[in-house]
Amino acid sequence: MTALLSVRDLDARHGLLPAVRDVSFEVAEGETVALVGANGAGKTTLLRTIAGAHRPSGGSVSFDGRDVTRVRAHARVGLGIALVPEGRKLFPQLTVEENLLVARRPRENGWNLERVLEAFPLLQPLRTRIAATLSGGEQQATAIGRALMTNPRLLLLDEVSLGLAPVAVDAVYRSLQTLIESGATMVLVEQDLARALAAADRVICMLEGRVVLTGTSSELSREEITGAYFGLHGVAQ
Amino acid sequence: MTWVNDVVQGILLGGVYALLACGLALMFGVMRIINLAHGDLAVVGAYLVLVVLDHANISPFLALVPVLPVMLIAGYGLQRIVLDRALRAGVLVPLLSTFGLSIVIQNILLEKFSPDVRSLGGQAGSIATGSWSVTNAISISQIGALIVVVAIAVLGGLQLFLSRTQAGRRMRATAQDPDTAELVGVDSRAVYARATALAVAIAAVAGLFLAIRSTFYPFAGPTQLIFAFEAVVIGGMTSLWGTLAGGMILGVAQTVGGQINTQYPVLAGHIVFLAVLALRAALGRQIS
Amino acid sequence: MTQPAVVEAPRFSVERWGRTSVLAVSFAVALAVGFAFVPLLFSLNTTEKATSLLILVLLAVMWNALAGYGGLVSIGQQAFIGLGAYGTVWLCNHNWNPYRAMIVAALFCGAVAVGLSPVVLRFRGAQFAIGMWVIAEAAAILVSLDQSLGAGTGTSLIELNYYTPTQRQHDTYWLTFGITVFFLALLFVLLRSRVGSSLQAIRDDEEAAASVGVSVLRCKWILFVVAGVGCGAAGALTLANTLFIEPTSIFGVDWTAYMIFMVLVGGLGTFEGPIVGAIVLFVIQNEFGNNGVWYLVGLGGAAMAFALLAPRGVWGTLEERFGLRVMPVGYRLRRQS
Repeated sequence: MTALLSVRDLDARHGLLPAVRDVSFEVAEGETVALVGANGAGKTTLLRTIAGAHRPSGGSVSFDGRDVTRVRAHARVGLGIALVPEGRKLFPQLTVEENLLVARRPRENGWNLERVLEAFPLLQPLRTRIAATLSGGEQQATAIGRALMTNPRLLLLDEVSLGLAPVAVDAVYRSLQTLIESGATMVLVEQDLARALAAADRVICMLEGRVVLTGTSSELSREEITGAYFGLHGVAQ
Repeated sequence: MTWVNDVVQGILLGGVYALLACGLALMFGVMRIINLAHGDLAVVGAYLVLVVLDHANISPFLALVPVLPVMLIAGYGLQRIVLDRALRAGVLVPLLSTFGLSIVIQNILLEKFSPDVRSLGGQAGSIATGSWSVTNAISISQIGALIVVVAIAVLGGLQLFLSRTQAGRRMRATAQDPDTAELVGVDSRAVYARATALAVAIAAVAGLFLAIRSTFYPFAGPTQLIFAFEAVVIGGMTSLWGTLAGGMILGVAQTVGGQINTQYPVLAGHIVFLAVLALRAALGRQIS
Repeated sequence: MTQPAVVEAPRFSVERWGRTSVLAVSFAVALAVGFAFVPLLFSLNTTEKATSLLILVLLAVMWNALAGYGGLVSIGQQAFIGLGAYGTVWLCNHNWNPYRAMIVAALFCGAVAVGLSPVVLRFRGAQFAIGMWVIAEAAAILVSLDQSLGAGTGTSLIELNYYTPTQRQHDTYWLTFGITVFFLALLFVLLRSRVGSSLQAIRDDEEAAASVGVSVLRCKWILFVVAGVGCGAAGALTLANTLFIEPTSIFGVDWTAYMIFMVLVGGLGTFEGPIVGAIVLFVIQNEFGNNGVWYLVGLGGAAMAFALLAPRGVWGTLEERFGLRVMPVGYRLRRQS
């Protein structure tokens, strides 16, 4: 089975500062992969590079067998990659409904406005509210819904629990669980290790731009991951 | 009660300014570009209509029809070839690029057509000269009324486009956050190009009406540009209807100023503009 | 749990002068001294051209100070250029010595800048840019309504006829030279001082700068007033050099176009850039100025080309490519091995 997403020897930098170094991994269709690591480990840059929002300085990204390294972000959405960016990044002056509709990419039996609102019932009374007035949890739901409106084959989620109250995070993860169970392919960046391990099939740990540990969530112990997270035992690949 | 007539005349004048300002406001609103060649592009529109009229004996309004697609394409090309790159290079670069463009346009117009002052009023028929007398003191020129109607139609149409259509929604989203727009599948460069295309086409419409209502010549651009800017800024830069209001306030300021002293109309407009800005700054409101 | 290895932190020293800088500054001083002798060594025609060049340098440096260092993009500095020129005319009408009048007129422009600042410096972005332009237009109209200043047809400084042409050209040159060197030196000192670091901070992130105690408004105020005086001086000197002015041209937005051109071509935000840009514009004006329409088209086209292909300007690109830092307005870290 060929992987849906294939990242090879990827390098990305911010100016002169390397953020992603020589990263390679694959994601198969239907898998949920958790990307963990301390702040500054390169997780956000990696997701943005996969989504096309950041240009890599080396290496390649392939999606469904096709090299998309030089493809612009909006075209990658057309191919089926969707990113829920760090900090939600809703369009502040548009309403919830408009935020969702902007991303609309209709597909037979796929996601549309009604289905997204069914999946996130808390948004139903908020349809005509301006996005900038929403709470963190409501914004997160809208952001995920917006990504779903593009009918993606690969969903990239960057720190969906950031800045949210625990209750709100629970709600978000409940929705994500439904998505996972329906067979979605996801790469999830998450600081909360427990949630990451619970939601994901596989875990990739990054440190200072490199992948330092990979494995299924069942075979890796918390100690191993914590060690790799902080770089305490040297690099284990 | 001639001041009532002044206000009426000012409102009619405001229609012209609003129409001119519309394209400017669009480009600034979507891309934060201050297009210093906007006035000149309006003048180009007028000259293109002139060219069509040289070949066909039709009304100037009809002559606008073939000119519009030309201007749409020109605007699209301008954005994709020049302004896209200018935007990526920094805030000042679009300013300099459009200023360079303005100089290039003015001088090419000078070469192609003479420096003579022209007008399209003669070929527009009775509408250019006719007027209705509302009372003894107040009269409304037909062309003035037509321009206000057109301005409202164009602004209204644009507003509907932006708020009700998918393309319009995407344009607004791109205006607010182009990076994230790309992440949800919107081709921001195409959106920008569409906005410029619309702005340039609307400039041509404004140019036509300006040419019918009064006169034009190769260097007429910058004068109109500054009025258009004043209309946009007075109107608050946040909405298209604000631009309409801004245009009318400017028009009234100019006509009332002109009553006080015939040398004062433009100056009066400038003073009102600066006063509005100062008032807003004093009230601490941040207009983005 | 293993202990991380202890690594010696590399040691650095902070320097302001490197060998290149010492050479550059020495060269600049020598050049300045050389320039002082121009009227004595060259013809009147050349002296007039040199005066024009120095005025361009002054304008470019001023606009760069505003936009490159202060982030204040003004499309209306011609307001001060015009006020400097017409201020001189007014003072001469009241029997002032022309050269003293020029200096006072420049200072008057500074006062105007001070007067405008509480209102104008609150305008943001596009409003500031266009606001300044409108102020320039309004000033032009006010001047053209005044008969004693020649109204719309323009005026000249007849008081200068009391000097012989040689004397006039020489004195004008030396005043221009003195003023230009003064402003270059002033800016150099300003950039090396605390204000300079504050300006860098403001350029990078205004809010963050304010939060560490940088007085953003005061820094912008200093630049705005200095630029007002500088542009006013340039206007007065232009009057002396060209003898005839009229409102539409001295208050014209073309001045801004030239300033933007010089700064963008030379390199926005660098110290040396505007000087390079002024030289480029000067050369273009002299070589192609007589070609009428096509000269302007070429200038406009060149501006667009530079803007698109080399947006950091000549000097900016050189700085980036070769890591060149010539004039010592910044800091260098030297690693000690």
